[in-house]
This record gives sequence, structure tokens and C-alpha cells, in this order.
Amino acid sequence: MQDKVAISNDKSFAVINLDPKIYSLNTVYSAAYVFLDKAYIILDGDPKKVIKVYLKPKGKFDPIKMGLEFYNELLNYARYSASVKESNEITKMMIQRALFSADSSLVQEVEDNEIEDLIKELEQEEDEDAKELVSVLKDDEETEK
Amino acid sequence: MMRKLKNSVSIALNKSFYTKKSLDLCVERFTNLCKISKQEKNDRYEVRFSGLSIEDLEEISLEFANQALFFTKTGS
Repeated sequence: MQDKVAISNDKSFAVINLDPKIYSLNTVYSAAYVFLDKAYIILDGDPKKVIKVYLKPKGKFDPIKMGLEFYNELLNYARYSASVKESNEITKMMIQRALFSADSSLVQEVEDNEIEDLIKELEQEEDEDAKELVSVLKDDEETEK
Repeated sequence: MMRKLKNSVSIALNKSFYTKKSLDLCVERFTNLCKISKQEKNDRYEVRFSGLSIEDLEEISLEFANQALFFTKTGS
């Protein structure tokens, strides 16, 4: 498992190579943010291919151990952002429902808007029907002549 | 990424991971600690620190990178 964390040539940094398909850049930023107090962090690499995280502990910590802890934090934020995505739609619906129940005039407003839209659609259809009728009558007149 | 020269230390931060605004804020914040110069080289921002001992400059440059990450993450 320790092969997941390498040590830099000058032995001062723990180096972690991450696949952005598994850990998004936002997840990496979030995990790095938590570690800012206890380590020096430099991000490098290619955000589309491989994200390299260089970690240098500020105190007398083992860089390998810190690197493994960083993985834990990554997993924590990856799970968090996945669950936020999943519950996003449900949260939206709940907020809408809460707003509607708090102020019934909002429901009335939405219904009124829907009715207005329907009336406009019907009017447009009627106009088109009338135009068609006129053109048919004109054609009939011309054929009679 | 980080280079120690005779009287200075330079750090090259990847533009894909750090915003220009965050680097500018850091330069503004660290400029009273030591001499700082910043230039853009291809896909990197190269920041050079001088005017103090190499050990101090090394620590300052690492803290600079941390602050740049902080400003990038928080969108400051």
C-alpha cells in the first residue's frame, strides 16, 4: 500500500499521483485545504491526466504516513461531493415544497402563469387556423372563377 | 518545481492549478518579507525570492505556495 506514496529525489516531499477520473480537482483542493496547517503542499501535473501532490510535513511527521492520511481525506471529500450530487435534486424539490407551503400565493402565481401560457398557446393556434381558413377560401374563389 | 540558487530560491507553480489572482495576492502579501519577482514562463508562474538566508527563503517559498493554494481554493 505504501507504493501509493513516493518520496521525491531530495527526500523532502511525499509525492502522490492521482487519477482525476477518480479524484476530481475540487476534491484534491478540498483535501489540500485541510492539510495546509500541517504540511507544505504543491500541486503539479496535468489536471486531465495525472494530478501530482507534493507534501512536505511542517513538523517532524513521517511524510509517507502523511501521504496516506491525505488519501483518507481525499476519500472523505470524494464521498461528500458524490452524496451532494445525488441529493441535489431532492434538496431542490424540498426547498420548492417548503416555499410553496410557507406562502400559498406562490402556488397561485405559478398556476396563473401556467394558465396564461396555455391561453397564449391557444390564441396562437386560433390565429393560425383562421389564416389557413382564409387561404383555403381564397383558393376556392380562384378555382370557381 | 523548486530551485535553490546561490542567493535566491525560485518556485515554479503550474498555471493549471493556481490562479493568476492568487499569485498576485501572495506577491502583495509576501513582498514585505523579502525581495520577490514573478514572471510567466510557458505553463508556469516562476516566483523568485531573495534577500534572506536560503533556509528562510525556502520556508517562505513553501508558505507562498500554500497561500497561493488557499487563495485559489477560496477564490479570493
